[in-house]
This record gives sequence, C-alpha cells and structure tokens, in this order.
Amino acid sequence: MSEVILVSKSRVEVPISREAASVSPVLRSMLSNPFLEQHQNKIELLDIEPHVLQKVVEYLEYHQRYMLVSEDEDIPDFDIPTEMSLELLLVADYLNI
Amino acid sequence: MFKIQIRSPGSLGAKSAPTFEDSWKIIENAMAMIHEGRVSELSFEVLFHVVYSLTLRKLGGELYHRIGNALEKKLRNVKASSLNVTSTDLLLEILRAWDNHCESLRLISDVTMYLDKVYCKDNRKPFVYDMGLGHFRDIILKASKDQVHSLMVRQINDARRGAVGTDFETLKALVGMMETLTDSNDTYYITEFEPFLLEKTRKFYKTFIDSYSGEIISYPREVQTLIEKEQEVDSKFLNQDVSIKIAKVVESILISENMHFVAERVTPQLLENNKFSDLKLLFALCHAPTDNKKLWKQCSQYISHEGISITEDFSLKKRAQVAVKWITEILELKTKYENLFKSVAEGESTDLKAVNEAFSIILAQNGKRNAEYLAVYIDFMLRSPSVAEDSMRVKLEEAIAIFKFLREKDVFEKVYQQQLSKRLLQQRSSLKLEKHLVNRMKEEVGRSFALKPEGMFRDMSISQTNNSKFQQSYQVPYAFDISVLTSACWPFQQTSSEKEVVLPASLESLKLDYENYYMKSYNGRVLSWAYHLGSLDVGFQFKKSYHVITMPVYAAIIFMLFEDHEEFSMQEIKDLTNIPEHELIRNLLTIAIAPKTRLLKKQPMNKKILPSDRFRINYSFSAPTTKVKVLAVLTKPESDTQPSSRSNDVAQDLTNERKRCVEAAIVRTLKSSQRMYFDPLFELVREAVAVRFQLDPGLFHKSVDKLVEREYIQRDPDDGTFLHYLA
Repeated sequence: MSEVILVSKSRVEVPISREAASVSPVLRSMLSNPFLEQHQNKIELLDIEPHVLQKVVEYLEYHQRYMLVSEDEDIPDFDIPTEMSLELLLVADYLNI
Repeated sequence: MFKIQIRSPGSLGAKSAPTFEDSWKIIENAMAMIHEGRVSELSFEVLFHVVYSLTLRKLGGELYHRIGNALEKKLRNVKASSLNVTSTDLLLEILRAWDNHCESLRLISDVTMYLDKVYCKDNRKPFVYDMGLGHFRDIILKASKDQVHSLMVRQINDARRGAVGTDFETLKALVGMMETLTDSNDTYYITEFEPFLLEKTRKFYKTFIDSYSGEIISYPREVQTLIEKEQEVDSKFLNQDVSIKIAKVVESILISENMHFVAERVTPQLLENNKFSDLKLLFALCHAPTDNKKLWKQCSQYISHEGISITEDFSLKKRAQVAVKWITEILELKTKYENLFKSVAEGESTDLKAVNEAFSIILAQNGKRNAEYLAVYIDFMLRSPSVAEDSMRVKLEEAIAIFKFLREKDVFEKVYQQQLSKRLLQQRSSLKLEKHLVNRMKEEVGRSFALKPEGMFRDMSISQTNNSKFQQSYQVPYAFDISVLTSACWPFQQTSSEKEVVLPASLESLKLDYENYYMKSYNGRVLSWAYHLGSLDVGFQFKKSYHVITMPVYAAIIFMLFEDHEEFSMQEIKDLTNIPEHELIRNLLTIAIAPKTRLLKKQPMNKKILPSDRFRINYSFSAPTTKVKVLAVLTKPESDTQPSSRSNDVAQDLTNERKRCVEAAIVRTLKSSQRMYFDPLFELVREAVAVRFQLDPGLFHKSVDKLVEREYIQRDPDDGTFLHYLA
C-alpha cells in the first residue's frame, strides 16, 4: 500500500495511505492526474494547522476503514474535539469531504 | 457552566489576498500549459487554492466567465489551424481535437472543482466540464455540421454499397462523441445527426427502389440481402437501440412504402412461378400488420382470379363430365393453396382466410351453375363403385368444403335431391356414404337440409321390409322391388294421369296384390304408381339371340302388347295403354328409333312419331351381350318444347320457394319487432336466408309489396320506408 505525504503549515509531514486520501475528491484528483503532486507523491496544504491536518488524516483513515462496513456492525464514534470544530469544518469544505 | 472556547480558524489563504488579475493570470497560464500537455509542471494544490480563494471572495462568476472565454478562444484557434480541410481528414481532425479537448477539460474541471461545487451549483450554471463541451459543440461541431454529416453519410453509404475500407473506428468514435455531447435536453446525436442520417437513409433506399432493375420475382431476396447488409454495417458503428430506428426506416421504405409494388407485382409473380419459399420470406418481411393484410388480400385476389379463370371444358360431351372436371380443378386449386399457406403462415389465424375468401369469391361467380356442378360432382363420386370408402369420405369432405362456400344452396339442394332420389331408387350408391354425407351437410347448414333426404332413407328401408313380407305372403313369381315413397320427401311430380294406365295382366295382378297387402298394414293411405320411375326386365327370343332387356316400365308395357298382336299404330297403343302422350312418344323413341335399342320397327321409317305410325317387333334385333339395358332417351329440344319448359319448371319452383322463404322471414322478423325501417329489415332477412341463397333486392321488394297487398304488413302513411306489422 503506497503512501502519500501530506504537508501542513510549518512543514509538518503527515503520511497517509493513497486509499484513505482518495476519500477526498480533491485529494483524489490531485493524485490521479499528472500534476506535480502525482510524481512528487507529496501534497502541500500549507494553510492547514498541523494538528488539524492530523485530525483530518485520522478521519480519512477512519472513514476509509468503515466505508464498506454494513450499518449493523458496531462502528465506533469518531471523536471531534469541540474547540477544533470550526477549523475542521473549513478544511472539510476545502477538501470536499 | 463550562466555557468552551472554539478556536477561530486561520482562514485558508485569506492572509494576503492577491488581486483578481494576478490570480487569473495563474489560472490562464495553467490552462495554456494544460493544453500544451505540460501538466506535470503544475501544482494542483496551488491552482485549486487559487480557485478556492477566488470563489470564496465571490469572484466565481468572473472566473467562470473568463474560463469560458479562454476555452472558446482555444477552440477557435484549433478550428482555424487544423479544421479547414475538406476531405475525410476533417473527421479525423475533429476527433483529434475532441480527444485533446476532453483531456484538457477534464484536468481543468478537476482543478475548478470548488468553483463547480460552490458557484455553479448556487447559480445553476453548467459545470465547467459541461460548459467546455458546449463550446466544443458550438464552435467546432455545429460550425462544420453539414460537412461532417455528409462526410459521415458518404462513408456509410459507401459501406452499404459494399465498398471496403470504410473507417468504422472513426465513425464509431464520432457517434460516441455526438452521444456524449448534449444539445437542448438530448444528445447531439439525437437532435442533429440522427434526423439527417435517417433522411439520407431514406434517400439511399428510395434511390434503390426507384432504379430497381433486378427481376421482380427476386425482390424479396434482394430486400433481405439489403436488410442484412444494413444490419451488418450498422452494427459496426451504432448502438443497437439506434440501429433499430434505421432498420425501421429501411423496412418502411422497402416494404411498407413500396407495398404497391410488393403486393401487386411481386406477389402475383411469386405465386405464378410457385416460388413458395420466397413468398414465405416476403411474409416474414411484411410483419407490419397493415402490410401483412395487404399481402394476404393480394394472394386472395390472385387465387380468385386463377379460380375464376378455370373454365368449363365444353369439348367434353356430357354436362356431367364438364361439371366433374370443373369441380375437380377447383378442388385441386384449393388444396394447392391451402397447403401453401399452411406452410407460409405456420399456424397464424389468417392462414386459410385468404384461401377461403378467394374461394367464396370464385364460387360467387355464376353461383347457380356452381351449385349445380357440385351436386353433379357429388353424384358422380357416389356412383363410382371403385373408390374405397375411406378415400371417398375424403373426397366428400372436400366437396363439403366447397358446399360451405355456395351462396345458392337451395339450387344445390334441388339438384342434389333429384340425384339422390335416382341413386336411391336405382341403388347405385352406398347407403352408408349417402347417410354420412347428409349428416355432414346437416352439421354445416342445419336440420332443414336433411329433412327430405332422411325421409327418403326411411322410405327405402321401410319398402325393403315390406317387399320381403309381401314376397312371403303372396308368392310372387317374379323378382320385384317396390318402393313406397312419401310424396313430400321426393322431388317427383305426382303422376296425375286422368286414366289408369293399363298394365299387362301379369303386372296388373302383382299391382293389385301389393295394393291389397299394403292397405292391410297402412289403412287409409293412397298409393299411386309412378311407372315413369321404374324399370322392368323382359326376356325375349329374337331371331338370332335371346336377350334380357331392362327397360322403363312404360316401354315394357308397350313392348308386351306385341305378345298378342303383330302390329299397332301409335294411336292404338295409346288407347290400349292410357300412357300419357309425352311418355308414350318418349318411350317409342327409345325402343323404335334410338339406334342401339331398336326393339320395334316403325313404319314409315323416320325420326318423328305420329299417331298414324305403325309398329311391329324387330325380330332381327341383336346385341353383343345377353343383358341389354334400354335407357330412356331425353326428349330432344327440336322434337318439342318440353326440356326447356322442364328446366323452366325447376327455375320457377326455385323462385317460388325463395319467395316463400323471404316472405316468411319478413313476417317473422317484423312480428318480433313490430315495426322497422326498410333497410335494416333487408339486412335481417338477408342474414336469415343466407344459409340457402343470396337475397336479391328485387325479390325482397316484391315480397314486401305482396305482403302489404295481403295486409300482413303496412307501410307507414308518413314514411313509405317504415313498415308496421299487422297482427
């Protein structure tokens, strides 16, 4: 499973699997088209705070993991710290999650 | 109470807002690079971010507009630089431009995803991708529409003509492009190209038909080949649902719109040349219900023509032979086409309808003659002793099929009863088959038909019983066979001679004995003797040989007079025997003039019989066999007017019977509905008598007038066409 590096503000690098990143249509487009990002295997999201990006990656992985699981099964809640909600909202909009 | 602090997000990219123009330059530049294929030098994230921030700053509209313009400009350049060719290369160039455009557009629209999501959705604009396609449609495709379309159709038509080397890949790709592009709520293919293609297809096949130079008879095969070819061509570049439309067009041109030709020229030729498999094919091609009907109709017409053109062969001597030959030919025709259409239609309900219709037309021509011929045919069949019973039943069944078509069944009935009576009295046919036939006809047209024949059968069997009983109690020295006939059932006129015919003594005693016997068992009945129907065997020693001569009773009575006397004049014979004059003449003609049965010598020797003529036995008579059968001559037309008056009698009889029938039907109908207009009454009466004959309007009018006269019905004083029933 190939990995992609997401880069946040202050150049903190967060690795994520390609499949998980593809949950976001925006990231998917970046990776599936022959843009710079594709062959650098690195996406710079320099406007996003590291801890927010960390949370986003967590969510993407969470989502990807349970995406195909049927409703009946026990899916753990995804915990979102209240104070981060606004920042996450904004990024979610940006990445079209 | 907790105080939750929500961190305000550092707005994404709002820190240093670049001017719109600066941002646009980035996008414009990127678009140019994408067109050039230098995608890998671009950062998606950067571009995405620019679009994002412009959209957020409510500059999406302007951005959308600029992107549109840029695409347009790009396409115009493409058009100017590479699409000014006129040859088939144009199609290739367009395809190339299309592929490039799609690829660039996909990348651009990915980058502008956020614009689609926010601006386009909110403002109900087509997404960037669709906008780009729209530009392509308008700038590239529509601008050279005529050229593109005709280039494509030219290739398609070439392929239809069987040319090799058609570039189906390109055609398929072009059709795919057209189906991708939308145009006023449908695909470009459907709104623009398809109508053109269908029109050209029509023209192509129309030309084929107009200049059709092949054999008329091979048209079905040609059409089939064309249709197959078309399917083959279409399948190479069109979807199935689309090619179905084309197939329909082709079919309607070649068949439906050409039905005139197909039905009136092709079909008769196929039938004429017995091309039955091609006919079958043609039926398969004409599966539209209306076409199919026309085809059937045509076949039916053809058959009826053929049937009507079967003429009577008057070179044959006897009318019976003419009739038998004619009916045989009609039956052969019927069998032939029944078999044909059974195989063509494979159990469709219409299959035999065409044949049936045709035959009802054929048999409606000259209906009375046909009815008579059929009766004669049946007579002939039943008198043929050599035919086995099973095959006879088959033959009779065929005859019954014809019988069903007869419109003038009453004519048939008359002739049939005449002949049936003769067959029965002469015992010339199998009683079992006769009964079978009557039963079959009863099934077809109802009880009334069978009444008289069944009466005849009954009389025959009762008579037989009586004969054997009589034989036992009276010991008659001769073989005899007496049939007592119920006069109502038999088609003979009552013998109404004023004077009792004088019989030779031996016969007279037999007659008296039988009368005695019969009166004992059936008191109160009147027996009257129908000598003219009987025959008698007389043995006589002529000079050279002994002969047993079977002759009509009257002839025998005359002959036996000469037992005691040498010579009589005709007048004397008449006085001695009381034979009615016309019978006397007829029988004298038979035994004194007919060349093979000249038992008497006539003085003077000529062909007329006069009261003064004298007769004596012709001892020099001889014949090759011991048994001789004397057949009564038919009185010839020149000798007197009797035959024509006889057939007039039959016709008169028939007319009277029809009148009775019509009058009864009118009265019955009016009685049940009390009052009615003329026309519906005619219809009802026509139906009521249709089993027996065709109602002639003249006859109907006459009958109505007569009933009015006799005050069964009354015309309405205000409206002469309205009739009332008078109780």
